[in-house]
Amino acid sequence: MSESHRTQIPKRKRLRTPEEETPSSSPSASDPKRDQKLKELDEFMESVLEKAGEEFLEEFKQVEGE
Amino acid sequence: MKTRVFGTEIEYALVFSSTSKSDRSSLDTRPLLERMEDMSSLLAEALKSSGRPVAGQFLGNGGRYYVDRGAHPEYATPECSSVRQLVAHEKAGDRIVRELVRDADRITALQGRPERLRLFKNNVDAWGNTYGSHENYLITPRAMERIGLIIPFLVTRQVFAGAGKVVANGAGDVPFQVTQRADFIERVYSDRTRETRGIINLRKRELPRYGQNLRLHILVGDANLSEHAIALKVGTTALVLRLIEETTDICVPGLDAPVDALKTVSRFPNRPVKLVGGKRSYTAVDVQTIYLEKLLNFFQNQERSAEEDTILRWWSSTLDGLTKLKLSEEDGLLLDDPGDLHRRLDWVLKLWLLNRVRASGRLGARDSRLRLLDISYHELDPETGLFERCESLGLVDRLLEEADICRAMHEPPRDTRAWLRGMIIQCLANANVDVDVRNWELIRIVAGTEDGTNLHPFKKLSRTLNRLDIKLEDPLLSDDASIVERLNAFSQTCSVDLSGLTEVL
Repeated sequence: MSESHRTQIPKRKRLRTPEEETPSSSPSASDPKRDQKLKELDEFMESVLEKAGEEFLEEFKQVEGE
Repeated sequence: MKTRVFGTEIEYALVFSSTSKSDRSSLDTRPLLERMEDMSSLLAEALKSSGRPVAGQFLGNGGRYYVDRGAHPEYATPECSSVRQLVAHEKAGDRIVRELVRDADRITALQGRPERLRLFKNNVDAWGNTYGSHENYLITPRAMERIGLIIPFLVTRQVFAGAGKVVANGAGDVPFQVTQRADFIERVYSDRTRETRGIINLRKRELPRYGQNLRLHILVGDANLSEHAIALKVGTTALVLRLIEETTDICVPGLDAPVDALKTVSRFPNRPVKLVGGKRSYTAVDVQTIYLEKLLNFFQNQERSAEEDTILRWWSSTLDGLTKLKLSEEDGLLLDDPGDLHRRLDWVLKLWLLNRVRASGRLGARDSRLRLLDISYHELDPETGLFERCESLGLVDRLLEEADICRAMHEPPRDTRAWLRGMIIQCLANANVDVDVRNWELIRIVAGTEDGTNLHPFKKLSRTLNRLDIKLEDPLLSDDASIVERLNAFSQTCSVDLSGLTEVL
């Protein structure tokens, strides 16, 4: 049933996305609230790197599952 | 098949983390399997003391919690009939296991043990061991005969369904892959779930019944954190299955070497993969676009549900976003994401997060500490999990309300056999009966003794004479008057009060 020669990639009329149908709740890139969130995120990632320590990679060992 | 029944199975990873640096070394002296069995036992103890209605391995929400190979705690969702329902139940499973971990930590604290448990939803540890996240779909026998038509779709859907993986310092390899599981798949079809895993697993636990619908068991997917990624993965797969079931003549691009293509796309998502014959090549997005277009044509003459319509729109906008996404595959860098896919797709979000850390100049592309962030992404803890932090900061798009997840932790889906299973478990939890959910298809109810205790398992004759077997062979069975009649008759014969259950059913 499969073939490789006749299948063409169709040119598709783009469907409207959900975001276009309803106003996005996400703040714009220059939003101070977003900047604050990104700052919190960066601090969180820094804390992950500091707290975990590379020895955690040694500890994170599992038995093979399915 | 217009009403699709599907479910997912997630194997979780548990790690003991010492609460005291000085005790860290003592933990390592125990053999790994022993340690993992210890952790799983703690969760079993937590489940027992939680008061949650349970019968065997099955829960009151119709799902199944058990310990699978490798001592991994595993949650299988109940049978769902909509994508939204499935996402809610998979997320509910995450929460249930997380609650068990929290309760297990209380137990270890009471025992004075200097460790706490950490829970992860991913598919590979830091040593290269894998564990699964499987999908199940009810399909017609005709679709099973033509199931090869779905392979190119399954190989390439990772461009939106992958969870992303930071690669260890392997020479000549890329620093980041789109999926966690691609490297562990060795066949297109296989009856094994270890060693030689297939994209599709052919193992049949249930007896196949001639002419009836069958379970399609897919091993190739990653465990997703993003609600949108789960919805896209399951929703698009269900749509392609409908196309295979209901059309007579479809042509899809046959991949020359599907397993190799799986690994290539994981490393180089924009690189074309060879088609059968070797003369042409398509990118993963090209292949996905072909499937999408065939479905759009199919639905010109067929009815589609509101949910199918939504999935088609998300699929389309995601493929548009992927077309505009700019990557530097060799450097593992996300250069541009004009479609904001990092708000919806796990691997793009993970790459976006890693890029933020790398942009600070602290870490290079091959720094092993990036793997710490990779693992942290999958930790199911609001305090320490990176994805969970992104979610709480509103940096990812959500599909569900919190109430949807809370409801799914306790309520089975209303329109599949999970409803009957869940209601029996819930309503008979305190009745004078022993409920034994033997498997997904059979529930055995054994009347208790006059003094209100369960009949001892060794009293086989009494248990046989005082039991009722309820078979749930049809996954779509949710309402059956004959079951209520049999429950009423059993109630009278054995003098047990089942009115709470029969009123609900």
